[in-house]
Amino acid sequence: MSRFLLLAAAEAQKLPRWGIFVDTDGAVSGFFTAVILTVLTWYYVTSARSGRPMPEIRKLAGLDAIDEAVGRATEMGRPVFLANRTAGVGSVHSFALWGYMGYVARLCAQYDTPFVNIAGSYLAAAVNEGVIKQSYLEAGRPDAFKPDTVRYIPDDQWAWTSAVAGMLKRERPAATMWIGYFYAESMTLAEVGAQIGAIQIAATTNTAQLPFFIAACDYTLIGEEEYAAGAYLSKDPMLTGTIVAEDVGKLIVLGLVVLGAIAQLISPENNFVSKMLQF
Amino acid sequence: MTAELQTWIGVIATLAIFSFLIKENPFYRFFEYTVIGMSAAHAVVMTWDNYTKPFWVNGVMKGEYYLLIPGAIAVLYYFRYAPPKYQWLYRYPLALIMGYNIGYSLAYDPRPFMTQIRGTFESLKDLNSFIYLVIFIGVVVYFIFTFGNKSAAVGKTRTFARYAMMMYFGVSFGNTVQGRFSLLLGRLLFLLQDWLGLVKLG
Repeated sequence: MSRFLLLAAAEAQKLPRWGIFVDTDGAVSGFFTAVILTVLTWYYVTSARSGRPMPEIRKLAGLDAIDEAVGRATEMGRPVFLANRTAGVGSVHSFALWGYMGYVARLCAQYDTPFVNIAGSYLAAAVNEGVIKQSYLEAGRPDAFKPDTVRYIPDDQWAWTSAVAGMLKRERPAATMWIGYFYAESMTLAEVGAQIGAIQIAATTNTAQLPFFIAACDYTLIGEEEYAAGAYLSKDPMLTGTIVAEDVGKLIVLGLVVLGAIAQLISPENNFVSKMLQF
Repeated sequence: MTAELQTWIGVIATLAIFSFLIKENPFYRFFEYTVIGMSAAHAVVMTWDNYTKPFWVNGVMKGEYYLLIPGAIAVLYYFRYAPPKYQWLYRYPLALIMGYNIGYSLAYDPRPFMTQIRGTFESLKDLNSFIYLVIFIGVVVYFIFTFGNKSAAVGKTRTFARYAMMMYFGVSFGNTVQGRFSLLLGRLLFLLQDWLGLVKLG
C-alpha cells in the first residue's frame, strides 16, 4: 500500500515554484498582505503604547448592557456566568474573551458578586484563571477568587453543553455571557438562559449561530464586533492598535474591490487588480 | 417493544435528557454526569492513542531522544499546580502554543482571502452579482469601528448593511430550525420504531 502511495506521489504533477513561494493563486499577494498587516499593526500598537492619539472605537450596544447585567446580578444576589467552549490559547477569540473577562471580573469583584467562568479548553482555563485573579487583585479583592470560579468541562460538544445547561438551571445566574466561537450548542444554551430569566449577552463570529443568539439573547455582538468590544473594554493599547490596523486593512480591501469592479466593467481581460491578487 | 439492552440504554438516556424540558432533576443530572465522565474518559484514551503512545512507544523508546525536549516543555504545564514560587514556569508551553498559532495564521490565512476578494468583482455580469457587491461593501463599512463614525453617509450604509445581515440571519435561522426538527424526528423515530415498534418506516 505504502509503495503504491509513493508511486502515486511521484507521478503527481509538481506545483511550479516562484523562489520560495509555491505558485498557487494568491501565494505572493497573500504574503505581502500579511507583511502589510504586520507593519500596520506594529505601527498602531506602538502609537497606542506611546500615548499618541488614536481613533476612537465606536460604542457598541451590547457593551452598556454588561454594567447593567452585573448590577442586576448584584441586586439579586446571583452569579454572573461567562462561558467559552472551543477557543484555545492561540485563538483570536480567546484574546477578545480575556478583554471581556477582565472587565466583568473586575466589576463583579467591586460589587462582591459571584463570577463563574466555564471553559472548554484546559489551556484557556489556565489563562482565564490568571486573568480573573489579576482583575480581582486590581479591584482590591484577591480573596474573592474561589477554587470553582473557573470550571473546566472537557470540550466534547454535548457533554459540555449538558453540563452548562445543568449549571444554569441549578445556580440560576442573573446574567450569562456567551463569548467566542460557538457551534450548534448556541441555541440550547441561549434558550436555557432565557428560561431562567437571565440577562444574556452573546458575541460570536460564527454567522451560522448568530441567528440563535439574536433570537434568544438580550444583546448580541455580531462578527468582528466581538473583537472590537474586547479591545474597547480592556483599553489594552495592543488590542486597540490591532483594531485600528484592521480597519486600515479593511479600507484597503474596499479600495481594491471598488478598483477591481471598475476595471472588470471596463476590460475584464486586463483587470490588473484581479491579476495582482492572483499572483 | 424491543428486548435489546442497547436500545433500552439509549431510550433511558434519551428520556433522561428530554426530562430537562420539564425541569432540572436527578434523572437528568445522572446522565449529565455520565456523559461528562464518558467524554473525559474518551479524551484520555484518544490522547494516549494519538499523542502519548506515538511519543513514548514509537518515539523515545526507539531511540528518538530529541523528543524529550518538547516533552520536557510540555511537562512545564503541570507547574500550574506547583508552589506559587515556581508557577510561572507553566506559562512557557502556553506561550509556545500561542506563538505557533499566530505564526500559522499569518502564513496560511491571507491567501484564501485573496481569492474571496477577487470573487466579489470577477463575476460582475448579472443583477445578483451587483447586489452581492453592494452588500459586500456595505457590510465591510459596517465592520469598520474607528473611522467615519460621525459621517451620515457611513451611518446610512451601516443601517443598510444591518438590514442585509438580518435578512441573511432570518434565512439561516429558518434553515437550521428545519435541520433541528429533522434531528428531533430521528429521536422520536428511535423511540416509536426501534423501541416501541409502533411505526414502521423504511
